[in-house]
Amino acid sequence: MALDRRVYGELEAAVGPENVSEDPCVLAGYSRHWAAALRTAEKSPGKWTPFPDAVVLPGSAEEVQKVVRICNRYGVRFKAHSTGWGPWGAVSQRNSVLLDLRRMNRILELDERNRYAVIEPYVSAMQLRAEAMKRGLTCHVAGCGPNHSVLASCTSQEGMGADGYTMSHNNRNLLAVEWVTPTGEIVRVGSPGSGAGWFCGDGPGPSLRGIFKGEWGALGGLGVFTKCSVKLYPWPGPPELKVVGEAPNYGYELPGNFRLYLAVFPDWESLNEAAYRIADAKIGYMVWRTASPQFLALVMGSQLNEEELSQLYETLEELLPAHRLEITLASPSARELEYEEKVLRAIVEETGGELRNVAEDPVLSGMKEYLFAAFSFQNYNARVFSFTGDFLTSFGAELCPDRALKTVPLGKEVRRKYVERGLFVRDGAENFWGGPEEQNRFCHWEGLLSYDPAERRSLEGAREYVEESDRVALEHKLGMTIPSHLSPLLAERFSPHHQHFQEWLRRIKRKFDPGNLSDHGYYVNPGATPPPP
Amino acid sequence: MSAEEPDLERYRTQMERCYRCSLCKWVPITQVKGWRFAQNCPAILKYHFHAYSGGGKVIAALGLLEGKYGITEEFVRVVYRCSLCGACDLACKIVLGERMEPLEILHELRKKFFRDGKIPERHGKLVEDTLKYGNPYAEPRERRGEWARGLGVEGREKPEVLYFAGCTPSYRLPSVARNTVRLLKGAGVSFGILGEEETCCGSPLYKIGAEEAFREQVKKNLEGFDRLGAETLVTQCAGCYHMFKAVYPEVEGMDLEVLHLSEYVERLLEEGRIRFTKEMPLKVTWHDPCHLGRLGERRHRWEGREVKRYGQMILTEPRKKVAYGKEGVYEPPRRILGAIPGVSLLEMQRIREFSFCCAAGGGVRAAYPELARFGARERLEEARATGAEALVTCCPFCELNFLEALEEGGGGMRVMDLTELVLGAMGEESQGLEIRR
Amino acid sequence: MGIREELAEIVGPENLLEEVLEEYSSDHSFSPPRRPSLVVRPGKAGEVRRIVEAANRYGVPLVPCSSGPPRFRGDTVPGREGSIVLDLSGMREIIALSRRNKIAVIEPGVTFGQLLPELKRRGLRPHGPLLPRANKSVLTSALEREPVLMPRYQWDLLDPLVCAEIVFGTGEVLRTGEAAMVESREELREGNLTCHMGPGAFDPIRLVQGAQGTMGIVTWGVIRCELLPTVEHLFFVPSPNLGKLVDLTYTLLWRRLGEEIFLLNRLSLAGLLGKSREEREELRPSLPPWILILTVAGYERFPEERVEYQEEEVRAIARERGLGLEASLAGKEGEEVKGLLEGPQEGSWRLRYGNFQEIPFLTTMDRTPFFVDLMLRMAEKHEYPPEELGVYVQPLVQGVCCHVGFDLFYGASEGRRKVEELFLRASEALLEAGAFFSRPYGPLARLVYGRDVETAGVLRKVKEIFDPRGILNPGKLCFGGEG
Repeated sequence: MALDRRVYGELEAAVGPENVSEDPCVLAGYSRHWAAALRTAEKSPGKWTPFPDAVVLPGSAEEVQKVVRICNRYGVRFKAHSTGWGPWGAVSQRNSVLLDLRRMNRILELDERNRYAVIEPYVSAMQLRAEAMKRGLTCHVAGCGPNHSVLASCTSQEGMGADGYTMSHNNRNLLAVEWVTPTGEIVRVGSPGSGAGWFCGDGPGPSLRGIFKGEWGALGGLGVFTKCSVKLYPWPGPPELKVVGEAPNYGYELPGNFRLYLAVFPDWESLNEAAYRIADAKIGYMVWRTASPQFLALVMGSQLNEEELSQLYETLEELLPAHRLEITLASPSARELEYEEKVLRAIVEETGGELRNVAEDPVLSGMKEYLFAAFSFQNYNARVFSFTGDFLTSFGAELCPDRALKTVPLGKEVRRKYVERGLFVRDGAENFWGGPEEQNRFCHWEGLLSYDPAERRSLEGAREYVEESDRVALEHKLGMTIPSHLSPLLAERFSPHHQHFQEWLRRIKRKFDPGNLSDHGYYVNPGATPPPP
Repeated sequence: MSAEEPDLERYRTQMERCYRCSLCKWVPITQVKGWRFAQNCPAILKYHFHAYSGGGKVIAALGLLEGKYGITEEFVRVVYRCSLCGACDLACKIVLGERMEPLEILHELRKKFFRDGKIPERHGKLVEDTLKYGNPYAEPRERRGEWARGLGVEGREKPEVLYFAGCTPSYRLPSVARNTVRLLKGAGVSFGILGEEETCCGSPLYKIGAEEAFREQVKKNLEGFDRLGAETLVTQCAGCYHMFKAVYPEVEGMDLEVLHLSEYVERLLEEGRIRFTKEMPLKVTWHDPCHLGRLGERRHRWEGREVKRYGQMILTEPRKKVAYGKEGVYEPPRRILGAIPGVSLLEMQRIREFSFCCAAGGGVRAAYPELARFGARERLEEARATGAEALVTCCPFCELNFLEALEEGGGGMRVMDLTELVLGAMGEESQGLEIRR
Repeated sequence: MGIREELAEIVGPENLLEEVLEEYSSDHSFSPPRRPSLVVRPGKAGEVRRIVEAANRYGVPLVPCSSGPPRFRGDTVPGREGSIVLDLSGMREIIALSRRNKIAVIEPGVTFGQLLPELKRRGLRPHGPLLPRANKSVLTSALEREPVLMPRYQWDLLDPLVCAEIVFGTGEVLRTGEAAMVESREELREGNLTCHMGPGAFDPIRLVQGAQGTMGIVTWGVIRCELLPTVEHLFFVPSPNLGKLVDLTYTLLWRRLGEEIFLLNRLSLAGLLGKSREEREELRPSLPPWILILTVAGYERFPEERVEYQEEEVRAIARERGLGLEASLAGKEGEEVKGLLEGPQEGSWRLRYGNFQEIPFLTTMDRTPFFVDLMLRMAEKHEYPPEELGVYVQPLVQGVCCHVGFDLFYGASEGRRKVEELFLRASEALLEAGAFFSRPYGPLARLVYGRDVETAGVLRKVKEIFDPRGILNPGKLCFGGEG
């Protein structure tokens, strides 16, 4: 059912007729996403999500404001969308206008000295990173891979990534924000509100960042963010990395002042202990564990025949044991690099591990450029989708490292059952992606898996797995799982055990969006009654 | 169902697999070098709605297949405002590999649209003209060989090489064909041309989705090749190259060795039949035409099934040979430019298999000239950003588009065909690009 | 039963204090004095919750306070008649310390004087401000976003605060971050709460930090600490030119060299080092106009080597800029000053030199010379001697921004009026020129929220959620006072 025709007229007047569409083939492009099984509690019917009734392409915060005010006038729901890299980019109900922020794609400022950039919603991490590198800086990249919107990750989603040891989580990297509230006010949170520039998101007084972003954000439920500033980090490498190799496995030449290691440990406890010591020693540029060796083999073997793939699978299973960290050391100072290497070696030895320099390893050195691009830059993270065209994750809270570590043995036992039943890709029971963040202040372990939504038993298995892993996380106090971030119904189950946070979010939602027009589908339903304990 | 009939159903599973990552809109991540030139698709750059991207069209096609909606005027625009350059196809496959064939899906969609009569009006005329005149410009057949007058091209039986000029050099950029002939003569190559018997390679028909008409052209061309009896076909038109090298073998077969002029010139250089003796001091940048590079690789129609291995992992059986564009023609022109004394090559950011399409192809120039100009302007800006004095390429359709964009105020940049530099370095006369109207 | 009776029942009549009201009526700021009607001293978190519930029911304002005097910012001076001061200094438990996770779980009454030796015994130090006084509440320092000395370890302005138990103005209790899962004191004692985020899609901890007690009252909190180095050396980099030191600081932070790093002008350094006005005056002329102070440190493994290479590299970088790295300055050795920084101080070091008013704001380091010039011009205009202006520049958030604190000293009552006038006019001028008053104390709040009306509007909505009756510290920030 289309909107009142006057709405379309006003939208066209606000953004230009060429920037409004109600054609179904256009609307379809915003209505199909992965993660059917993540919406397990809603029993989503597959990858289609509801069609919006219009898509608009605003070009500025002022145009966004106009659209939001039009929606308020007519009681029409609206949803902000940047890259749309996930079902949370979609509207959750009909009678909705989707704002595709693609035209707002500029890097407005890149302050080299003060290490921040001011960006619009459609600036991708790979663009920002490339521009920053030219100036001796870089940016944090979230784990979905560098094709994500930096602003969306910082303001509205989560934001953990493999470079988190140095570059933390986007909850931390967000500075100031320009926010079009659900009722259409433009608020500049932090220093720009005082006309002081974009370097700070906190104040005056308390930090309003706290209203819309926590472990994750409102995912479109609290208006539209049209601009933000984001921290950049020192980049000790060259202004442009040299690309080597050929499609599909391009790599980067390792700069002379970088070292890429695999640190292999006898068990997860030793790995965790080493992470603590590495952090205490204040060394390291990147410290992470990408995936199980089986998973890596399947990803890298995309061009191999079955026999070769099988060989690679067995080789990596043997060569890259599960308890492994990928560690990048980098410094513009040779002496510092030398010092860090020495300390790293000592720590790995103390904790019973073995340190392998990838560039010198007889097998791995042949893939070192690809591994550098994959591990240290996350350029191939989207390949988690490659096996079946869909993907699921589990666990994944940011926790004290000792607590986070429990996720792996507990999660492994849950995963194993489903893998053994053939319901998921056989990527090893221990396909956990994660590691220390902010020099091991907190830590992330997330259980990845690939299931096939087109095969009923695999889809049902994935849904069961989400339920079971959520129960384990609740029982063992492993924080809130990623699926619970992305499904308000799942979040309701965690809420009573986490300070009834959904009640607080409901109050925030009602206060800032009394008309409930900013799509609450991935945030909180303000009218819902919480389930009984 | 034969490969001629539109068969979107064949690709249903793949279409369902699109997970909306939007990587189809970007050059491969590892190749991103900055903000400005990170995107790979002229259509989405201009029109912005997701439907205009490769993935957006795949989703739109799925919705059609599932009966969620019909073909609207906007849907026709979505499908045909696209040069079928394959940039989205490469970007997608970097991740999905053998499990997705976006370009095949887009082509199948066009076949269906054409079959249903849902095409831009201008394309209907294009098909008619091509069949009637043997070229999409609606120019008389008899004038096709006029470009060769005065060049002393002799009729030969079984020449070493069949030089296929193509429609654009024949009717719009004759300097390109004339330069090529001078070059071949200068190298002492025994070559023949089809003159007014030459007919369109069929690329516009193929791209529009006019399968039947396209196959007619294929037959005509193969008969013409047979008659001339050469063993090697050389063309400098990237579009024709793509047809003869990559498509004809899948459709009917192709007995001749097919070479792009740049490949042939490289061969001539190696054999010493061409020498570069004159200095040509110039800073240039090279535009990799889509149909020479990423689409210059044969794409085998795969017949097989998908199987599950390692639990739920989807693999093809037999394993599909994935076209990443690696087998396209990239090095020969670069080696030629490298061998010309005085020329320095300044590469753009979007090159080789991830080159940016000028947006003329796929029927775009005919039906949506504003998109073709947009693509050309975008590419010219990228060329200017290198600091080069000239943008050099070897595809007359790209050259035509660049020149038209420059005429309409696309900024300053000298556009040259590779043959100008090669002839210049040989110490021979050449003609600069000029549109004949 | 009236509120007094109820409070007596909650905390015991011995913890209702009426004889000390004068002590809480004013502080060293220019905030107008106002007597509270009562001072209540709870001993436990549960008592705080019940007090807030009662205050909510009766509509009685509460003013939280945790540090002992002297106080300087006006945030603990009641803004409304009939206010009750909630003195949390009696809640002094150090609930847990963890060397492994480098955190301290503490109640609001835990002071620097109390905590520092405990941390030291475990090989830790707080990530704290410059020379905190011994009776200063550690948690309050973090809640007030006092600038910290090691920007390298400050990922955002929340640091060093991690998570907390908050009693909101409604009397509801919420535990933030990883503490959301904590159900008992025993769990708290495990010392394994290190993540600040959430719970869920908001960060309530950010809503109480910088709020001057207007959103919620913290009954315990987790703060992040840093490792105590095995070896640490302190260096001075003197310069007549602030801009050069700023330039050096940028490079050092980009290179991630050094631990503590901050900049002072000569008056501030002399004041920090001197123990009396005479001593300060003696030191001052031998100091350069500007001094950067930094420490390099080594930890458990090869500490000397770390110190050596860092010192060498800092020295080389300084030399490239025509600057020198000195182990001593004006007869003061780095070691001595380092000892001073390890603190805490008895009383406020600034108060040795008379009364003072600080103008604190945030900016980026490259703008600091501009703001110093502007402040000096304002001082001249108001006949304030420029050599009496203290300046402290503290890089923050890994170098993204910095705190600037201008100290205006004064003595007699006439001096006070003049300085008050200068304080207000200069703050206005600084605000106009782009200074960000992220912590708008006292009269600064009116200036700041008058300029950022939209933020004030949003803050009031937030207040309506967490303190709908407006009982928590009314009159602060943009929340109404009298009336």
